[in-house]
Amino acid sequence: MSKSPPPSNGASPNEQSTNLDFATEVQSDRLSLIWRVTFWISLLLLWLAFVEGGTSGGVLAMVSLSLLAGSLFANQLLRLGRFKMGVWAFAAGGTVAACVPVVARIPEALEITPLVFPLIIFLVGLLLPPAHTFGMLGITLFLTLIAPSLAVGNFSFLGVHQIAGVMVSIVSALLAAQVTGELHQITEWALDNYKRERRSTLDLFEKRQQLQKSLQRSQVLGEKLKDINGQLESAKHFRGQFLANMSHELRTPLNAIIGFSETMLSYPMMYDDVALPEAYQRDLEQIRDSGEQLLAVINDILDLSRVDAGKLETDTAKAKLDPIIDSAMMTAAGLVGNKPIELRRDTPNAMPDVFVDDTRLRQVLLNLLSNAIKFTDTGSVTVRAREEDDAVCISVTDTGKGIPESKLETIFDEFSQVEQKGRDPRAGAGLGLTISRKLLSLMGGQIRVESTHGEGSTFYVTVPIYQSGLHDSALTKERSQRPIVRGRI
Amino acid sequence: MYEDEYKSMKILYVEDNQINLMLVQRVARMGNHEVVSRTSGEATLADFDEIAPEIVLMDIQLEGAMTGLEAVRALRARNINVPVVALTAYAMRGDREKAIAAGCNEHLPKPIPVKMLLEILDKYDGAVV
Repeated sequence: MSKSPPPSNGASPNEQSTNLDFATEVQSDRLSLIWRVTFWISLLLLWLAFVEGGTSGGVLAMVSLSLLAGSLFANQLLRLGRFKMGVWAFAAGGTVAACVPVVARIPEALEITPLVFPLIIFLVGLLLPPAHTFGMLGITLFLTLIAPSLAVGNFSFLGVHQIAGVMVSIVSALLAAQVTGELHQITEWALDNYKRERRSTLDLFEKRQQLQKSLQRSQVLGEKLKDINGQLESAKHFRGQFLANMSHELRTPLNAIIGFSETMLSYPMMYDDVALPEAYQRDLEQIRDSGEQLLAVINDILDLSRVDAGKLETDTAKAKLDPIIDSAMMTAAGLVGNKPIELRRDTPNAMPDVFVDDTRLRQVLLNLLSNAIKFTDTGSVTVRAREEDDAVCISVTDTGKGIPESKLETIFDEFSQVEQKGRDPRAGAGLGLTISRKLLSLMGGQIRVESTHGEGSTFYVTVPIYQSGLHDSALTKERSQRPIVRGRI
Repeated sequence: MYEDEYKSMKILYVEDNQINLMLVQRVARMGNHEVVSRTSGEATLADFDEIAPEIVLMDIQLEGAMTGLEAVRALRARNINVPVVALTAYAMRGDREKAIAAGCNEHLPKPIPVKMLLEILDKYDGAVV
């Protein structure tokens, strides 16, 4: 019996006990059946021996006792796990039993005994590997051919029965060897399959456990994620609320700052026509302009908080592009001041109507223009427009310092000024582009930027062209019901 | 010379913030207008007939339980047709429409644009109420 070494991975505690020699187990079962049958037959023979009595009764008793002894030994050895020894004990019992009549000089024995041996050989052959079978054959050949001669002292004694017995013994040994060989192959194959099966089952089991573990892990993670999402939502809500409150609170002092500086600067008659000294006027202008800048930032923050709260609305409708660009450029012209910047416009005479919120598009364009003017010291700022499939692309090109490539990705994110350290005093809070992008996406438009650092930037804004079939539906009806505020603070 | 061009009006400014009141008082000097103030809708309604303003500037957030718009509705319910200018700190979409729907004639965002306020005062100055 070849025993394969147990798989070394030892993944399961069951591994060891399942690694029984399968073939041995089958053959042990077979031997235990055989010895039981033999046991009962020998008991029957023993009883017959008592009934018979006399010489033949004694011989029969000896035969059955030999068989009994062989069976019981075999049983004991089986219990100790010595299967091969058990087989041999049984075979020895049978052999002795077969030899008893010969020794007892029963005349028929010499004829019958050689024919009993093949049966024993066959049994051994069925239970043990071929080597043992041939060993058994050798013993029986010795007993059949040589032992009688030795006992009798006549070497030439060879009966027909012995020859037939020898022949049958050899045939049965060969037969048994072949059958056993096949049995061994089959059991080996079965055992291999079993082991492979077992291993893949164990693998599967292990993988299932791993899966379960990772499932649990992902469930835990999912719950954490849900938690964090909830926190994020409330944080976002809180932030929106905070920004709205803050901008409201900031507005009240700004009312005084902007209002009073405006009255002092522009309406001396409110002060009994006492004119301010020039130096005071200049500084007061700074106060007013700063106040207005602050107001613009607050408005941006408020817009952004509305975006976060999902409250930023756009009222898209059919609109002419020209007046929107005109208006934005007119306001932008006021921002140029003393800078040597040429504000150019390069748009086709006839442009299709667009589907936008005109106030918001104007806000976006003004934001781009004011950025362009802010970051350009000399040169030009040019507004262009062209049709693109079902959209109009409006571009604002400046000859300013441009945007480094690494910043192009984040320029539309909140509070993402190009230079965080040693900030350009011209810079705002960096909210304009964020709001512009959000506004455009609400209007079904887009914004993108191209820039060469040191040479200037071009921002492209695309907005959808008005299409009577597509846009003339529920949206326009809704518009009449939805309140619109045109004026911005 | 400006006193001759602008006839003076009696302005009732309903506002709970003193600085805003000072600013409007300053602006009102332009037309030599008189500014009377109340800080709540309730006080406005109680004293309205006594004050008898020619124009009302109405803040929306006030002291007391009443909002500016509720006060305007109550005035209109009493058949008072004095022009009312709403002043709101939130320039949210819909605020103007709400103000107009409540019975206001005009709507100004805060911080108050001085020029626009002057234009509005000019517009209603001398108008028959």
